Amino acid sequence: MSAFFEWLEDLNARDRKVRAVLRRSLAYEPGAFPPAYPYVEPFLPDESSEWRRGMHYLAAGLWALHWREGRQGQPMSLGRACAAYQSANGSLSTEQRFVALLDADRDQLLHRLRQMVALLKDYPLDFGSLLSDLLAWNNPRKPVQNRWARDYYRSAATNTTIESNTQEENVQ
Amino acid sequence: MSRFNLIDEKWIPVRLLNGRRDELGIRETLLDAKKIAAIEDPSPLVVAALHRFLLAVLYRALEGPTDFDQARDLFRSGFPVAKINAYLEKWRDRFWLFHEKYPFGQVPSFTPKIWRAWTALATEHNADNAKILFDHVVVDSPGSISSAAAARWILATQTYAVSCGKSELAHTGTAPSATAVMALPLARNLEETLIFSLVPQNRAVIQNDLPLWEREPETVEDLKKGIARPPGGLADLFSWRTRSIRLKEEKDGHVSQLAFASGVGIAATDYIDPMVGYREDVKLGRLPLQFRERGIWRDFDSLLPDDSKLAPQVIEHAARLAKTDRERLPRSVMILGQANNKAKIEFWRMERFTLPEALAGNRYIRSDIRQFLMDAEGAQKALWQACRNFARDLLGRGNREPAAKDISAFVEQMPVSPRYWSILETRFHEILSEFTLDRDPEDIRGLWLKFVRHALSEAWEHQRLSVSTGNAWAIRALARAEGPLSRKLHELTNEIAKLEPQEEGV
Repeated sequence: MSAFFEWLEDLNARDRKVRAVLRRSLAYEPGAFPPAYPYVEPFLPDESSEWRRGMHYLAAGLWALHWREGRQGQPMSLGRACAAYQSANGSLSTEQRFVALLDADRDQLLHRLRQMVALLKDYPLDFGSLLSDLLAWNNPRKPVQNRWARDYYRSAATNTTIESNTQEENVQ
Repeated sequence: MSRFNLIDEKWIPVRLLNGRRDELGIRETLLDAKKIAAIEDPSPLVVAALHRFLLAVLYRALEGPTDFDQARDLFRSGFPVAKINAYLEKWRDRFWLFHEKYPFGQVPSFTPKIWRAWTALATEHNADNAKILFDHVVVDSPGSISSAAAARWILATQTYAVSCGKSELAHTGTAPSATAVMALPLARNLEETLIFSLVPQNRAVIQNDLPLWEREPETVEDLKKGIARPPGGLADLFSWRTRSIRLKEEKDGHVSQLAFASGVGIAATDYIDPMVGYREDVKLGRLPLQFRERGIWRDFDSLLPDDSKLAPQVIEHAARLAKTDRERLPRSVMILGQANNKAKIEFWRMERFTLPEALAGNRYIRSDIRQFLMDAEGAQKALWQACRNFARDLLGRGNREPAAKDISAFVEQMPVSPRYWSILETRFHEILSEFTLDRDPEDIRGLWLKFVRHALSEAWEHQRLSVSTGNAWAIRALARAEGPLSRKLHELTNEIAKLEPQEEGV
C-alpha cells in the first residue's frame, strides 16, 4: 500500500498545491471534493468499490494533514502513536478518543480519525498500514480494531512500566 | 421360606474377558474371577459396594492375608478354591436374601409403621425424602425390582447412605466413608483386582473381624437405642449395617416395598478405610478426601503413595505387590463415590485413570504429579487474572471501579476456566501413561508444560474470538486483559526451553 503514498510524495515534491488540496478534501465526504481527483484517481484506474475509493481519499487527506518537512523516525502504527502521545501528555481524554475511534462507522470515521491524526502531529505514522487497515475496517470479525487496541494497550502498559520504574529509581 | 441364595443365584453383574456380560452368584464370581474382566453396573455406587462385599467375603474365607508375604503368595498362586468353597458352605444359611431368621443384610424383627418404596435404597432414584432430576420413578407407585437388584441396592445403600435426621428407630447416621473418594486399582482380571485390594490385616484383628452375615442381627430394641460400636476390622467395615432394612417379598420374588430406618452407628474415628485417601488438616487431623465440584484429577497426587502414608492403602499395596512382577501392575485405577451437601446428594461419579507405570519403581512420583498440578494451577491464576481484568474493564467502561461481587459474578459465568481445565484433563490422562520407568521426569514435565501452555492459549483464544467482534469497550477490555496472560505464556516458554534437552556443543 505504501506505493500510494510514494505516488503522493512524488506528486508533492513536484507540486506544493497537492497537500493543500488534499487537506481541504477532509472537509468533504471522502471522494466528494473534485479538485482532489487528479491526485487519487490515477492511482485507482479500475477501482469499483465505493469503500476502497473513499478510504484512499481519506488516507490521502490524513497524510496531507500530518505531513511535515524532513520528518524523522521509524513510522509507527496509530495505536502505538496514541499510546506514546498519552504517556507524553498525560492526557486522560486520549484513551476515550481512541475507544470512540474503534467504534467508528463510516460516517464517524472521517471526523474521529482527523481529530486523532491532528493530535499525533509529532509522531511519524505508518500511513501504508493505516490505509490497508481502513480498507478492512468493516470486516465483521473486527481484526483491525482488535489489533489497534492490542497495539495501544500493550504500548501503554510498556510506557507505564518504564515510567514507574523510573519513578522507583528516582525515589531510591 | 428360604429363597434366593446369593452364593448361587445370578445377581453380580460382570463382564467376562471374552466380552460377554452375565450375572453370577458369589461362588462363581470368586472361583471364575480369572475369567472376569470387571464388575460392571450402571451405578458406580453398586460397583464399589460389590467389590467391598467380595473383599469382606475373601478376608473371612482366606483368613488373611495377615502379612505381606501371605499377600504375595496369594498374588502368585491365585485364590485357594477349597478355602472359598468351604467358607461359603459353612455360612450358606446366612446368604439367603429371604429367610425367616437370617435374611441377608436385613433386620428380620423389624416391622415398620410405614412400608416405604424400594427406591429408598437407591441414591439414583426418587425417594419419599429425596428428588432426583430426570428420574421418572413415581414414589407412590414405584413398580418393583428383582431380588437380584434388591440385593445389589442393599449393599450400595449400606455403603453409601448419608445421614438424613430422625428415622423410625433412631437418628440416622452416615455410612463409614459414604462421602469419601474410593479408589480401586483395576488389574487384568477380577481375581487380581480383588487381590490388589486385599490389604493385609493383623492376625489378631482378622480373627475377630466379623462381617454382617456372621453376626446375629441386632434387635429392634437395641437399634432404637441408637447403638454404635467401633469396626472390628475390614470385613466388618466393608459390610457395615448403616441401615436397618427388611424387604417385603412379593409372590413373584420381586420387591416393591421395604422397611428402612437407621442402623448401627460407628463409634470410632481412628480407623482407616484402605480404599480411601486422606489429607492432614491442621485443626481436624486426618480427613478423608472427598469429591468436590472440580474434577478428582486435580487432586490426583493425593491418591499416590509417599512417605506420608495418606494415599489409599489399596494403591500402595498394589504397587508393592507389582514390584515382584511389574508386568502385572494394575493398568488403571477406578475412582468412585458421591458428593453430598447436608444429606443432599449432589452427584455420584466413577472415573478411571491410567496408573503410572513408574509406580512399580522405587521413585515416588507423587511429588512429580503434585508439581504438575501446581503448574496447572499457577497458569490458571494468570487466566483468572485476565478474566478478572476483562470483567472489571467491561463492567466499568474505564470510568469507574465496579463492585467486587459484580466482577466475581461476571468471571464466574465466563466459560474460560472450565474450558482450560477440560482441555487439560484429557492431557492429564495422557501424561499419566508417560510415566514409565525409563522416562526422564524432566522430559515429562517439559511435555506437561507444553500442554499447559496450549490449554492456556486455547482457552483464551476462544474467549477472544467470542468477544473481539463486540463494541470498542469489549475490545478495549480484551486488549487490556491480556497482559498477565502473555507474561505467563512467556514464562512457560522459558521454562520449557530450560527443560528441553540441550544440544551438546560442537
